[in-house]
Amino acid sequence: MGIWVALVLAILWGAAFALACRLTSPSADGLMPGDETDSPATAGSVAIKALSASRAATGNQLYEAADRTFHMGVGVYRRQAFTSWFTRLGQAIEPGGHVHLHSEGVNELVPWLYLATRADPHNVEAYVVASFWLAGEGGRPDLAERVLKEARANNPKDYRVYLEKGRLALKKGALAEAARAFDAAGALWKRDSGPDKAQAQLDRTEMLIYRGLLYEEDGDVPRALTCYREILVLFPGRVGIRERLTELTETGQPRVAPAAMRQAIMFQRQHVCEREDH
Amino acid sequence: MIRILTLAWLVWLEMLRRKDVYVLFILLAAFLATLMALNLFGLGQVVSYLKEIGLLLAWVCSWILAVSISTRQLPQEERQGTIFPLLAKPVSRVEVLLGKWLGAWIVAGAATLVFYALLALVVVMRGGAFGGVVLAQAWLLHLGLLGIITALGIAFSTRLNADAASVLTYVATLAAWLVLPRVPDLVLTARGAGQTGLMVIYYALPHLELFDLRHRLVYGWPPASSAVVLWILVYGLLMTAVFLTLGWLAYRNKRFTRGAML
Repeated sequence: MGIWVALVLAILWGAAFALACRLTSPSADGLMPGDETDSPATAGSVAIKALSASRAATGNQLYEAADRTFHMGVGVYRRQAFTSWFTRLGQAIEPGGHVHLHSEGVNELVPWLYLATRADPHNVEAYVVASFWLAGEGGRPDLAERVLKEARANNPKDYRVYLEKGRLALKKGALAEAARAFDAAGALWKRDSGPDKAQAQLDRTEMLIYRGLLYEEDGDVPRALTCYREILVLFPGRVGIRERLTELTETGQPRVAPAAMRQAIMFQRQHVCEREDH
Repeated sequence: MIRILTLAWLVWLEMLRRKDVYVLFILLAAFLATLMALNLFGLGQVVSYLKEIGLLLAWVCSWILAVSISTRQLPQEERQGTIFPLLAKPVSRVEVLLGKWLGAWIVAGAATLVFYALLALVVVMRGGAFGGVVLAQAWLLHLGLLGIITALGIAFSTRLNADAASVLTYVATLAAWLVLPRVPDLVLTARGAGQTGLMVIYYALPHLELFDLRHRLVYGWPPASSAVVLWILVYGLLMTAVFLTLGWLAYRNKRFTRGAML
């Protein structure tokens, strides 16, 4: 009997969870009183909306599990109003400190990202992060390519997939392929840069930097300059870009070769998590 | 003591007769097999997700088992009318209560050990391993947790029927599990009566999160300090004693009516 009670409670909880996800999602207006929920036809769509919101929430939760796995079970820091005997005991048994998975160990977070993409195939961030680690320390660029292929099939109009494809091509040294991917990413970015405007600007800057460097390597300095000028429109305070622009304009020859610059940026991106302040 | 052990043995025999444990074991095995069969973007030889999800499932199964076994013991005796011949024997009510709790606790603990063994086997098959000492600590603390849950279930079932008692035990333990660890940061945003209410809940409900060594186990951390584990077990013992005492207070003068629990 107790098992049946547990089952009923689980079903009720699942329904409440789906509804809560829908009500707290940014596009919850459709469930408000007086909306189109009265007709039987739209009642079905409300259920579907509720379920899709809960899929997205589950996907995000699994994505957070990937982050916890990367930090070897250490959860996020929360400021506490007080400490007690219980909190001290809790801290004594919970893993703590700033630790990461290293080298092939990073592959341990891929299953969570896989599950996140199964829960929500439009969770592009999960695809991109999986591809990044597989291609880098995970040592499986072949699988990274496979991940991006699937991401592109599920999200053909998302610029982030092409941006990551470009990065992956750069890692492999396939410069022409990278250039094509950055061009595609740029075109898609102009059509829809996504809801997070700040991140979208950073992404646009990254694709412009890589594209500019690739133009330089091809000897097409005028187009490289166009890319750098566009970056300065987005971020006028980028001193490094401004200096490079000046060097290219005045001497036609930058102080740091484009290939070396490209490697430096990629190396910096790979080790960004080694800082203690994040 | 013999009478308590005899009653506990009867609970054990009932568990063997009923199918709850087998159903949960098969469910767990099926889930683990499904997890192992996943094609994770073509990546093999990763076990952390298997350990973490497997342990979560083992915890859920043992929680369901502990609640369902503990909350049905006393109401079942009353519903079937067997409480009358039982109490007509030289057995006190406190012995009935303790015997039922001990039986439920041992059954849930033994089943949990089987769940852990199955998970460890699956992890080894996948090429991973658990740290032996941490695994033993995790099971020991899990046993402490089950002691509290079964005591709470028994306490609720002294005055309620099996369904009501199991619902209340599920809700109370889930609330304690999810809300209590967040109270120290929730207090920051609460004001007035809300803040006082949170503090009352914080100190009144059992801190089940203390018994959770899963992260230490999954990510290969060294064993927890023995002193800390011992303190947590003492706390678990205390909470178990509190709930059993409350159950005893509710049960000692209870009047039984034939058919009341039908």
